[in-house]
Amino acid sequence: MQINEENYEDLMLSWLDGELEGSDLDAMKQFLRDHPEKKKELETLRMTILPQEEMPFPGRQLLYRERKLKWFLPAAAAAAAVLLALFLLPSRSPSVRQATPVAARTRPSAPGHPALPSYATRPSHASPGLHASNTDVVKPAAPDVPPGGAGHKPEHKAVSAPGFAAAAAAPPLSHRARQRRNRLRQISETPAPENETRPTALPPLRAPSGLHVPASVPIAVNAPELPPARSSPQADSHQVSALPAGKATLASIGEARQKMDHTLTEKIGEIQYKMSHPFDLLRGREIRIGNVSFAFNK
Amino acid sequence: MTEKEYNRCVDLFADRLYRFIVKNLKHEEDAKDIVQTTFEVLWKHRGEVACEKGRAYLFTVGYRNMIDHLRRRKRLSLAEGPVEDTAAGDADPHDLKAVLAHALERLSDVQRSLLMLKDYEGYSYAEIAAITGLNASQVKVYLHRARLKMRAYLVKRENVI
Repeated sequence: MQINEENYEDLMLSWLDGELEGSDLDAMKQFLRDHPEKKKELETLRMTILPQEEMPFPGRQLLYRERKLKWFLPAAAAAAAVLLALFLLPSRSPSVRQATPVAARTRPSAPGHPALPSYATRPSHASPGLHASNTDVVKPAAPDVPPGGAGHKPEHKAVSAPGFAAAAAAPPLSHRARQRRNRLRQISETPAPENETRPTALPPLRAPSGLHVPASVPIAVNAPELPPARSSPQADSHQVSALPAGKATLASIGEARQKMDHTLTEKIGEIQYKMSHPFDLLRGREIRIGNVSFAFNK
Repeated sequence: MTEKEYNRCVDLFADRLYRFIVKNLKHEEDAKDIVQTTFEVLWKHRGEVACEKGRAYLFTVGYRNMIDHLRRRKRLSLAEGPVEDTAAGDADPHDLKAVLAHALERLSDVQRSLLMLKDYEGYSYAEIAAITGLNASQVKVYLHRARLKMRAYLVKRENVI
């Protein structure tokens, strides 16, 4: 390349930028030798090159990823372990126990275990009638049931016994619940007229007028191997003589249904308890296998 | 790019990127934010960026973040507008570094960025073109004009030279 007065400055700047190479660089050096007065101009342009200066970034530690993970991984592992433990451990909180069905909480007085009073032995606050089975019906949040209590089932049975936190926390009957109970009681105590047909009253057990019910209706819960666990005479008999002889009334049908539900609930609770405590069945017993006998402590 | 290589990029280029950004913006907090954002982008795309390309990637993303920031603040004149050729003002005429800083402030944002990429980072015209989105000829022309303006400022009688 021919360097002259027209293009020397451009080539000089390219030289300063380090972009001049080979023959162009040689030509530029030759031009400066031929024109020494241009060297001062080159030095002036060289002064425009910015000098290096250190400028440390103040937030450098925030940029590293490795150090962040060093504390994050153990923390995440600990949090996961805590969550896992919370899910695996059985809950003992009163709220959970309160939500457990009554049958699942019923414990028989097995040997080696203190006998827990069941709700069957609880003194009844209800008058005889539909709720003669020593249970209070509490439906604080349920919508209104139409008069007559069609399909009405106890959803929550308050248990007043030590060991059951839910029983201590059982709220008294609300005004609406008392009204509902009184209505049901009034209906249940009223004998059904001869020609009454009430399709809404207890449909499964509705007795048409003129139906003769046998004196004793055996409940098909036969578990002779299970010891009686209730002190209540109603609970001790596994056969409920529910319905009186003669014509069935709504009161008698409702009472019989209450007793059947009550007995079945107790039996289911006992069976569930036995299944969860299999060795209780062996307490105080002796098992012989060939010549070897195993005696279990009471 | 592995995590270790990313951290190596932090070691090597965080200070240089910060210098480039803060000297353009002249605002430390904004420069910190842009540097941090730029490294976050690198971390996010580390699987697509080779280790040897980390520096160019950082400066490319950092430059674009900075331009966006300047545009938002309406402080960028993309065209090479006329620069006021005034004296150094408060700069000490015997302090070459201060006078150069004043001369640098009088350049346009693009000229200043190109000059710093060339002088601080030593990038070639082609590399600067890749970072800034210009072509190599534009880079060369803008750089030469920037140096001539710097020299014109320096040789003023009331300044150093």
